[in-house]
Amino acid sequence: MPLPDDARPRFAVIIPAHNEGRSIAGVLRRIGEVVPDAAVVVINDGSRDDTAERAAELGATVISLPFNMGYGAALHTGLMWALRKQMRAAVTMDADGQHEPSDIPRLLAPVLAGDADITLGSRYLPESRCYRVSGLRRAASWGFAALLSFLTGKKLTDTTTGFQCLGSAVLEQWVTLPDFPEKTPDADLILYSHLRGFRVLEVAVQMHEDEGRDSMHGPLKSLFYAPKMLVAILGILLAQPSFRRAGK
Amino acid sequence: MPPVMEMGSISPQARIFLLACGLFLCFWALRRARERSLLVSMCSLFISIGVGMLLFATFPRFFDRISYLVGIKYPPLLYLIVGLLIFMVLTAHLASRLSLVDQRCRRLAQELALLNSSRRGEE
Repeated sequence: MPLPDDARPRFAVIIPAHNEGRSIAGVLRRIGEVVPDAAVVVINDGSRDDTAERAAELGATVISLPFNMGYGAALHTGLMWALRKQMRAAVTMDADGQHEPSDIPRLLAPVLAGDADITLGSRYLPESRCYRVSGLRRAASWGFAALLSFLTGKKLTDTTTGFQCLGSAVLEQWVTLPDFPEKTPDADLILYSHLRGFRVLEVAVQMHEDEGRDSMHGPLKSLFYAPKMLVAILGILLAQPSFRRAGK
Repeated sequence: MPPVMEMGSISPQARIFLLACGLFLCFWALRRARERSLLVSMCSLFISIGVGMLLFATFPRFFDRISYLVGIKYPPLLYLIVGLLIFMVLTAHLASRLSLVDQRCRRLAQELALLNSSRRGEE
């Protein structure tokens, strides 16, 4: 989907990466073909392989964290970078090739046109094209989508997606959060943004199966995801009156 | 045959042991404070616990009376409750300090990474 003319502009593609040396080059090449004017930043989260070197060879800005800090911290670092570079929007995506770079313009367009503050790339909308998700993962994803739909009053289908686009106002809000989720910035931040008055829009995307190596979303991490996320959501709901007092 | 002790009383050996523990805790905390290798607030906490142990070893009957006053007829239960409370408060305090330090450490690492990246960009 072509971008509007006044939307040519400065937008960042943020890719947190941990030991993604085998897939990062392919992802970056595809991004270069689809959105050549994007500022691409790879957050190397303490990788032990050649992720950083491969990303730098392909012209991406590489920010190497001094040690492995987790997906949330890596993502937050990328958002900090984008805010400091005064980007109009920032797309976040995985380095394992799960997210399809050709969907970036679809995520960007509503944010740059001012129709949404955040767009979420959903793998579960009727128009989406998605790999076969395992039963347990699908159930957890459905559960959180149902919970978030109930809490926000709008139909959401994929609240665990890492393929998102944030407008500059959301970017600023997320970066200045004093306790940005260290490991799991998903449904909790969507709820937080909704309660802050930002407009959330889902966009159908295609997702490929990740190859499940030593990436940022291992099976053990997934096991603790649900209870942690529930606590995070509860914390945001309890803090809701202070958001109202502070205003948007 | 050992002497029969009253309910709530404490043997001389136990008092000596408690005295030694209290003294050790106080000296250890003071030494750490002198070396500045422990936060002053932590030193104060450990010294308070040590002084509490010293007082208990010196005036056990006084603590027994407090126990009866608050309605606990079996004094060791009070000591157990107080001990557990101290541990819970200490754990909560340490957990909150750890969270704060973790947050600050994360922020520092992020700033360092961003700084390194911009420095490399300028070179």
